[in-house]
Amino acid sequence: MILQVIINSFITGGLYALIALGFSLLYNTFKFIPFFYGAFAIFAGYFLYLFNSINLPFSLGIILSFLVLIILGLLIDFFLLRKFRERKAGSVIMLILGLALGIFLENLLLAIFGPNIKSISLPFENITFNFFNSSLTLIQLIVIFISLSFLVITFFSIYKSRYGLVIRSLISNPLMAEILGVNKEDIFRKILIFTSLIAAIGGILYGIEYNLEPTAGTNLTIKAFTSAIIGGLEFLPGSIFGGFLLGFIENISVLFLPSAFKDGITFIILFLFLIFKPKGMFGKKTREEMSG
Amino acid sequence: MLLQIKNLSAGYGKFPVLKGVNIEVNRGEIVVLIGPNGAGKSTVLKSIFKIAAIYEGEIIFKNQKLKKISRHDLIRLGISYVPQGRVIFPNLTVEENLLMGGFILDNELLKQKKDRILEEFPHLKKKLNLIADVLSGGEQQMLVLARGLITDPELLLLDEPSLGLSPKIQKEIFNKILEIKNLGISILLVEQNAKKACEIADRIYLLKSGKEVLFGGKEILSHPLIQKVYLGG
Ligand SMILES: Nc1ncnc2c1ncn2[C@@H]1O[C@H](COP(=O)(O)OP(=O)(O)O)[C@@H](O)[C@H]1O
Ligand SMILES: [Mg+2]
Repeated sequence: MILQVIINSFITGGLYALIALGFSLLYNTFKFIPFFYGAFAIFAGYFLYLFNSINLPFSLGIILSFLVLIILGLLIDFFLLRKFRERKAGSVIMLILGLALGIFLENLLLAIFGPNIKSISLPFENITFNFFNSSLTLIQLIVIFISLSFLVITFFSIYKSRYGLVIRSLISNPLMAEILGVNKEDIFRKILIFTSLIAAIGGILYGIEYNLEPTAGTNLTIKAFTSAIIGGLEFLPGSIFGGFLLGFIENISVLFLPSAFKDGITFIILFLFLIFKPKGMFGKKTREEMSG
Repeated sequence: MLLQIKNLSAGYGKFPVLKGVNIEVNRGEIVVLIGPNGAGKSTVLKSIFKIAAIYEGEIIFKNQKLKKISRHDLIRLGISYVPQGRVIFPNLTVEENLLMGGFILDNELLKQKKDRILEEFPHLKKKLNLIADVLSGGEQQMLVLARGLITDPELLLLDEPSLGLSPKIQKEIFNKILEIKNLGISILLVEQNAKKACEIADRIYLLKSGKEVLFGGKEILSHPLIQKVYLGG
């Protein structure tokens, strides 16, 4: 029983951690809460579904979904985020922009694909492994593998590579980073491409594991937001930890509570953290601003 | 002439701070900018780095107008800016702070320059792996100086490096600035601590309410305007 909970926690947790990492990377660099990120991620799942339904090879469909999401991300930045950035829009405006964009993307999905649940059909048989009274499907194994390896790669790129150092300095003090020669817009674009890729992977894995419906995006955003809050919004690795912890709490709660309450648990945790530990488990102190 | 600020009017939003300022820095000089709080000293440096808005006038570095140059390219031209307030990256290590100073260098060169700068700032060597936030004020000031020098700039813009530090540390900082000058780097130094700054200055500008009201060599220190503002005369 507990083994099954742990396995399930890794599946949900890995997904949450992945989306939360992209979410928190966007938040920390672009300095606004990207409430559209879940809906954006789900787009990739829908596109894979679309490419499947027109009989493109599965792997080509995946690559195309990645590309579509990256292009969509760049378009969103070019026509929307960049404009608000240039105008130095306040945080309330950015908050509303993020929410509105999320609703817009969700409605777009609804308009294109309709409200019915869609499932992505796989090109191979999804075998189930049974052991110690627990079970794990091949897809679930792939989900765990991909999300874990992507998390590890991202973590090391951010903390061990020169490129990651630039991103961390940009997060820490964008103006000082610019003074030292960092082209902010250029890094923004690259981060956007990278977070779009994370979103695409997350959205596709989510679509395969849980099926697709237009509102899935909002759900995913809330999971990502909660995971990031648990780990501390300002602290990148915290979101990874938060994702796994949230996955674990959800799965263990199913043992004691009706499973319909699984999503309700997320809100309780979110509120508890916002009230008692708004800076997250690792409570980092605030950034120092430039003065003078 | 290395840097020429001509008839500069600049400020924030619609609010002008500088009203027709003229400042020149020649190669190898320490030029000191003094003046009371709020006179616009920092704004002069901020206009060079496009942090303050420029309404009129121009800034010329090595015969090139800076108007069309992006902020992130100024360091590539050879201008290093060390802002007021010891602006470290607090959550990065000392070493990472230094490495960011050499962002524009390739890996090989960066490693070389980092080793060299640590020779010049040996005290930082023992602290490389510490989070920069835990350094003392004096150490942080040395760190931002080292970070600003790692690219071998031709011009160093220094804003109030001695602010809030003990007299002993201030002395170290001013000695360091002289050492930097002896490396052949020109310096535009903004200082509240007029007396100390003027001791190491080649030329001095007194800024008041956004205008340079007095300039010249050390001899201007005896001018009644400066005596009145600073030296309690
Ligand atoms: N970011 C800013 N926005 C608006 N006004 C500013 C800003 N920074 C400085 N000022 C104003 O500009 C004037 C000059 O400031 P500053 O150049 O920092 O003076 P100094 O460095 O000589 O003490 C002051 O009146 C200050 O209040
Ligand atoms: Mg100042």
